[in-house]
Amino acid sequence: MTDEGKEPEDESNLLEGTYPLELSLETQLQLECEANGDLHSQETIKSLPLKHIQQDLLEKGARSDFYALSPKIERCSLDEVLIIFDPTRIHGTEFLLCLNVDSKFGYLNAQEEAEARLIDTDSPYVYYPPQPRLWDGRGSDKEIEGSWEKNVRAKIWLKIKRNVPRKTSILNFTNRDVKDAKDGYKACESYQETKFNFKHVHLMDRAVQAVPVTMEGHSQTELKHPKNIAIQYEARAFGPDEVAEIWKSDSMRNFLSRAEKIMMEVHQEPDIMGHLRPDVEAFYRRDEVVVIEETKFAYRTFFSELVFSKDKRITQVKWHPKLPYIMAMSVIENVSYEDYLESLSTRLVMPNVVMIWNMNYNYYPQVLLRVADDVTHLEWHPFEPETLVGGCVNGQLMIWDLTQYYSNLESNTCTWDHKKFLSPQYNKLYVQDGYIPLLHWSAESSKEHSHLCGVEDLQWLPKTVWFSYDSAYPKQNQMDDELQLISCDADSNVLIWALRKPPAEDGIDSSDVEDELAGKRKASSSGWEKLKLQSALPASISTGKKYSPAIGKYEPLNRVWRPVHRICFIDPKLKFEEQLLTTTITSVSVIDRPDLIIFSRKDSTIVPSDPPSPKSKPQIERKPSDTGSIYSRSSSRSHSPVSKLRKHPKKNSGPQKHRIEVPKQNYDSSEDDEEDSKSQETDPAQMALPTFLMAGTMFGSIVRVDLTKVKVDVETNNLICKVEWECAVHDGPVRFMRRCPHYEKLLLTAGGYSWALWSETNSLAIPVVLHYIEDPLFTDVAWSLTQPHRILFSDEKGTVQVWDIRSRKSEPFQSQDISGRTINALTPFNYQNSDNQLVHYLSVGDETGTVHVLEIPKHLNETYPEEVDDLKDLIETEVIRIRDREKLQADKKLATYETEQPDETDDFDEERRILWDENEYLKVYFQRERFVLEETYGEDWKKYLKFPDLPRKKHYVEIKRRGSSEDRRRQKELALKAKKKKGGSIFRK
Amino acid sequence: MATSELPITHDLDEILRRISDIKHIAGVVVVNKEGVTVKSTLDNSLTAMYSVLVSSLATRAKSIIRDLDPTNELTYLRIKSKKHEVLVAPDEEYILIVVQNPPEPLNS
Repeated sequence: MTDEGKEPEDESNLLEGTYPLELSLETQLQLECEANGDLHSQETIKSLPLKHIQQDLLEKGARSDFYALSPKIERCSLDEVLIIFDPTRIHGTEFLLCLNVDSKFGYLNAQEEAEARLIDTDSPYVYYPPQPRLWDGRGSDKEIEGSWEKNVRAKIWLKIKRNVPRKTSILNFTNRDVKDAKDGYKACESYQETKFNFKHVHLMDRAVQAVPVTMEGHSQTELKHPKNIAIQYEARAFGPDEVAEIWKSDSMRNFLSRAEKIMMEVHQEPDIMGHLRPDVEAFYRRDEVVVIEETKFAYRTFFSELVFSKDKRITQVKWHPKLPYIMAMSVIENVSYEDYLESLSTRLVMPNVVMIWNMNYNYYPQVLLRVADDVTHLEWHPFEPETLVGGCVNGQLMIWDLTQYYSNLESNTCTWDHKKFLSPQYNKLYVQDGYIPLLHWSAESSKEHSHLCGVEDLQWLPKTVWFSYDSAYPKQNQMDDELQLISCDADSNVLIWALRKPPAEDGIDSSDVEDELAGKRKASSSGWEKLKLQSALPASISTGKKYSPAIGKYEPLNRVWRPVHRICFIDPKLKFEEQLLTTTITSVSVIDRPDLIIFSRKDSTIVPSDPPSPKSKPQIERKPSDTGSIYSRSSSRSHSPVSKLRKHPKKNSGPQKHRIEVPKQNYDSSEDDEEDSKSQETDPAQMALPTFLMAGTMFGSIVRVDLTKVKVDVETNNLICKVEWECAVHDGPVRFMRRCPHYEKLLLTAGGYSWALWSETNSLAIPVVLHYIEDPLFTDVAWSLTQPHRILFSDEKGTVQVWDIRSRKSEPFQSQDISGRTINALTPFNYQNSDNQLVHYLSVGDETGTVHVLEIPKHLNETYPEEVDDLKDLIETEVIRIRDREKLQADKKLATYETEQPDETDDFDEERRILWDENEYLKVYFQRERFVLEETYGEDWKKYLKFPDLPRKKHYVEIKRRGSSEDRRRQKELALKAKKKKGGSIFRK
Repeated sequence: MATSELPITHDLDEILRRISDIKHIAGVVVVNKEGVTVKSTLDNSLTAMYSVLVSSLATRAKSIIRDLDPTNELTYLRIKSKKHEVLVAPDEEYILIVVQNPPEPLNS
């Protein structure tokens, strides 16, 4: 307790109204005045609302720390009281409580004074100037040495100069008159004003003249500060010593081990975005640009000719094999074939010419080719780039020799004067004026030996196959640069042609013809050719029967060119008279099978004198057609042995029959010598090359013929082939047979409303793939040049369809309408454009006489290296599938045949069968029932029986269940036994 | 980490090699805080670019983290771009820069 009356004289004395106080820790915390916490030696005073103390008194009563002072507190009139922390315990207690205004302010003042005393205002301020120190470089670019600053980093000094000095051209300015140029001056001409009239009041003589003022001056930019020099600091880098030092330092060591930890940690979390990634990606995809690829055929250019091709039907479009921008095109009147034949007599004299176009000059054709009749089929010679072969509607074949224009075509220059053509003044552009060159054919085939009706198909034979005049069998082609042609007509004749002079038949000495041929080849001087060309005017064509203006290197062939062989077919099932009707060939395709030759050779060498096998029966020596009088004269020629041979045709019989029938050189000396025949066998040139011909007929069937099995018709000198098999597949004339360019064993045939694929590698007589389509009729077919499994079709309605072999659907993969008119010629080709890029084009010729060139979209072009193998695999699996199916069907047939017989016997034994059935059936049924129920319900399966009254017990076989599998096995055995019993019952009778 | 914890034969090059042997890592660069290259496995021009540009970015990132909260500290920095990912481990004296080609591009 304190003494109230005492005045505080010094610091130790208390002011009036101040009382020492002990506070428990609880109270300290409650009032937020914890000693050395809220209050400490620096901050000793805390103001506190009186209410808090009163409340404390109220709550705790006598336990309160303030209880001793409660009368004074009750008397206190202040709202806020002070609690003073006294760490030194001057008054014996830790806290003091001020309950009086004077004491409160006294303490607050005392505190302020104490704080003011901290600032030292007594001692005077002394200035210490900064001491100069040594320069301490901290990475700036300048160092100070002595009193000079100095750059420490090396500088890169660049001077940029132009290589070529600036060219200055001197400009000369001259005077000129206003009249020198059009619009040389501007004038304001007088005119009659219509709105009001002028009236001459007074006439005055006035004149104004412009006096030209000439000025001379110049202006030039001056280069005051050449801005071609730049200075740059060299990048700072540590030298090797410094690096080594740093590398050894502890700080680097610490750093790297820390950094490595971080890196390893980072790699635990490979994705920087964690689970936010999908959201972030979605955000980015929001404005992603989708590249839309061109999937349609894009139109590039077209070829059309107002006079020669307009409103005519394009029959063939053939791109040059070596010059991809050169195209040959043939047209005929756009009428049906029947109408065409009817109008034949009233038609114009001049047939439709064949046109040679250059892709880069699509205004007019480059060369016009004269024809004997309208051309339906064209083929470029694969080895002789200037030779073109065509088949006409009258059955003739023609050869054109483009040698004189070939340099133009090759160098991509125009054969006609480009400027003259495009200038508007010239309207008469055509042949008579000599603009577009007109070329006469080099040779036409002899009419007597050609087809009797229009050429239906024209193909080159495979380059390994060669038919010679003196042998009926195809052989290995020994010439690298010569090819033979095969053509067919609707009259069931297939002709084989060689581009060489036939052995003379009509009285002309063959040696003379050959000499002439050689002479022409040598003397193909341009002057002579021109002379020939000029004579090739239309007038001369109409009278062409008398005068033949043929030119070019095949000229000696003109009118004497005849086929090597004429092949007819016999179906062994039919009589000969019926043959010609059934096999009207509309398309042909030939394949050689050198893989089969090994077999046959082996066969013949092992058994050199084997008797004629049934296979070789139809092979009979070709009979000479006429006397060999001419041949005897030219005995040095290669044909000479033939004449000798023909004198002894009968000798070549017996064991050698089935082998090559005409030995060329050996035959003279030894006529039936065994040794010689052996030597022939080892020479592949003398062997018959296994060659097969597939032909499509007018009635939609496909025919396969082995060309090594032929018979010679003695009267007509034709080769007669037996049909190996015939398969009716298509529902219309088979117009197209195309070999796959990537896999030649695969043949595509199309006709009517269907197309089929045939594989040559096996002896399947049915198509591997067959599809039927709906309405529009196919008009042309082509394999894609890049993708082995894609086929392009065109149809009557002017649509190009793309089919995928791999798809089993009978519908196109993609189709696009091109011109809306019937397309007649569809030819894909590759073209190297000016940027040296390979572009894939498709040319489409329609009935209006226009050839459209379309670019094939990328997705129909892209190839992958294994696609051909994929295709082969696909075909092989298809073949296996078909074989399996056939086998299955055969088995089924057999099976039904087998089961049908016992069934018949069963009918006789009806009663017995039923009796047996009842017992055995119930046995099996109950066994099964038990098994199933036990499986599902366990031990008490008997409760779940459907018909508990049935006499089960006597049927149960006493088997203890050992396991479900065992049970099943027993059941099986049981069933088997039952079956045997049944069989026994059947045959017991 | 104290120096004593490391084995004495511990080669710093070994650490660098270990880091650069991690899958997809294209290169490792060690620079000092001023952007001067100490060691690098990248070629010269790339090293110069990365040293200067990334070190300035790392310094900036470091100060950003300090400004936001003075008691905080930048541990590492990852920059992911379409083609590369740059990992930066800044320290008092040196900065380690690791360039890696991400296994899959972001926007593919």
